[in-house]
Amino acid sequence: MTNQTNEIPVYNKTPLIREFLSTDPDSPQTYVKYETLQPGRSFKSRGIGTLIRSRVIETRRSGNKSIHVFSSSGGNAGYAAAVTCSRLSLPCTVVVPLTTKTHMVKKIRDVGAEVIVIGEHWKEADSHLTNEVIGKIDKEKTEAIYVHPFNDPTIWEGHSTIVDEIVESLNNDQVDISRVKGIVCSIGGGGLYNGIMTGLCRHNLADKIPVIAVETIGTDALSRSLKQDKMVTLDKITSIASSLGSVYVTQETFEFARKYATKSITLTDDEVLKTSLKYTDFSNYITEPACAAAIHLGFYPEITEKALGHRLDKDDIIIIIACGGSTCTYKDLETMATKS
Amino acid sequence: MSVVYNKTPLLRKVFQNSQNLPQFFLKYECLQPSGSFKSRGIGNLILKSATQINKIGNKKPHVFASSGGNAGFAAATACKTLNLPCTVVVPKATKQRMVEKIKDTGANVIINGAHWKEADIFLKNSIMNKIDNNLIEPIYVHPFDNPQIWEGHSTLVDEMIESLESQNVPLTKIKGIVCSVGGGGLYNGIIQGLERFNLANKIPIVGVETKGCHVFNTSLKMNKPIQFEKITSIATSLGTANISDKTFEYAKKYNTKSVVVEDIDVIETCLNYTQSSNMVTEPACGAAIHLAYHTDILEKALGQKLSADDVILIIACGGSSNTISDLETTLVRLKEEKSLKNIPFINSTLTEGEKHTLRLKSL
Repeated sequence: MTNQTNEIPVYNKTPLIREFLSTDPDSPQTYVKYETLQPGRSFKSRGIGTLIRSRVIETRRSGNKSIHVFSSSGGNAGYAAAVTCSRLSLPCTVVVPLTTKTHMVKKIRDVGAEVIVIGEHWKEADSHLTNEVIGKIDKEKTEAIYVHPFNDPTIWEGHSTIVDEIVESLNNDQVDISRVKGIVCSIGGGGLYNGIMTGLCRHNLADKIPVIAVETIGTDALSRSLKQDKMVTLDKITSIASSLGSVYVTQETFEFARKYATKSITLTDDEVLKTSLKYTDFSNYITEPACAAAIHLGFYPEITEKALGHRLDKDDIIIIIACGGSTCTYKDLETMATKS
Repeated sequence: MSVVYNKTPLLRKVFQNSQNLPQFFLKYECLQPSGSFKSRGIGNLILKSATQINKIGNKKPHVFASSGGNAGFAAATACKTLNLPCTVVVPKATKQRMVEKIKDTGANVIINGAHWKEADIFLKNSIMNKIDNNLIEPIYVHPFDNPQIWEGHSTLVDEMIESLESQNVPLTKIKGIVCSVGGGGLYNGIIQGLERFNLANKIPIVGVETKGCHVFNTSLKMNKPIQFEKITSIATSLGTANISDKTFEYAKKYNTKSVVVEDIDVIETCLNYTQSSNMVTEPACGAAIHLAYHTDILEKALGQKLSADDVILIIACGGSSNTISDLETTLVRLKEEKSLKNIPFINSTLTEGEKHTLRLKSL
């Protein structure tokens, strides 16, 4: 059993592809890390897959308890958990708030997870999960694996494999890493960012390659925290980039950002939505706003230059983590664009 | 990473939740610089030709293509990367969006001709024969019929073998490779790659076409290469009057299987696939993916039942010719046409106009 669990891949190695997003011939080279090709269609497969698998191995090593995985995300995290469980043949229950999109509920159910729809917002769904669902199982017989959407060091460890792959890709193509002048990623709760920082530290690159952390106005917990030089919790989320919709970033995110002089950028919903639609036409991939936020800097390298505080030339490389995500259909993007 | 094409991933994809289905691995050719596998072969042709011309040194290379589709776009994209001048003649029917895409690479785009053949004739007789042959060495890019193009496409196979090895999937588990067939360029490349690994006799290829441009299927049935007078499928990227001679030769030699699918079914697959992958695919690409959603068709073609232990490779050839809006509009039109064909009229005193109105009302 343990051997099988070890062998089944829970995330994919993804390509790092050069894309010519900017029409300016002197713009830096943009390399895009394609996380949409994960089993759960976003980078979340890395961290959440790793978390679930390592807890399963641990549980099986120490006894005969059955295993049940629990999540309270109706977004990419819940879907990543459900897909991982489908691959590892584990039961999975996802409790999601009433605001969750119908097509996400269907997707999560379609891969075999039980979905309970309850609560006005995430906190209520999560409370119900903890108190009424996990709280009621027989802990003698069943090991409950609770999957937080982002706030877990094992999850960040899983996400950090992105950096291992980036380094390997550049080495394979004989691209000098000193040409990499920045890595762009979106920030929700900071899980992806923590993973990237963990990976960069592992390769002794955290001091050498600055990270440009992108949020939207309305999900900008990191930006405000850095400006006020203390952890800030937002009152509420007011952006359409729902996958970035965490009212806080982790303590570790805040500390990494200060230690390694991470640059913080905020974009408007309008800018990000336009980029989502533009990028679909450019690449044939439909990206949700959370992902488009990072890709936006590929179309507008001047934003990256301003964030870094210096010009970039055409030998410089900027790596964009296209985090993926499947919470938006093309129709959703069009509807949002019409409203704005 | 080659300058003109990208190494692309081969990744397991689950299309339907069932225990008894074979494992599907998709080769993501949409990640090529031009959005389709054509970057491999056309990139190879252009790079090799230009390198040769520059080595001789007395003339400058200039690339000429006559496709308003993925081939023309692949040529233009390769030229942008290699900093080469490029002229593309596209037929009048070419979508404005594709014309813009090709122009955005810096290529010179001329619109001429009702369809590809006319555009190609115009390119050769009115453009290429007017260049100064003392200064310019032309590189003509046929959409598919050139051995250097097939050689470039064949790199697909090397990558897939490497990928399967690194994912610990034994080659003995591979029961087939599914690819779309237009003129047969992609198919020829795959065969040549398989030959290189002594696998052409071991792994059957299932070549998929859409009805209305099923030249490959018809040629195999008639046991000789056939030319179509008219293309009536909406899968324009597969729409060529004939397959290359080499394609017919290979298909006979290696007992390649041939499947034909309906336009309407393929578009539905494209839209389903977009739901499950966030990728927008054109019908030519959806045709191959269609068999992952309909394993009965695949099993019938291969002449065997497939189990969960078997592995099928699907070449998702990519292509940028359709937006979601295009797919949805075309689907509505095809469904309308299908319904109109199915409604009989007993009362023949109605005028044609009245019949038409009644049919539309019943939709």
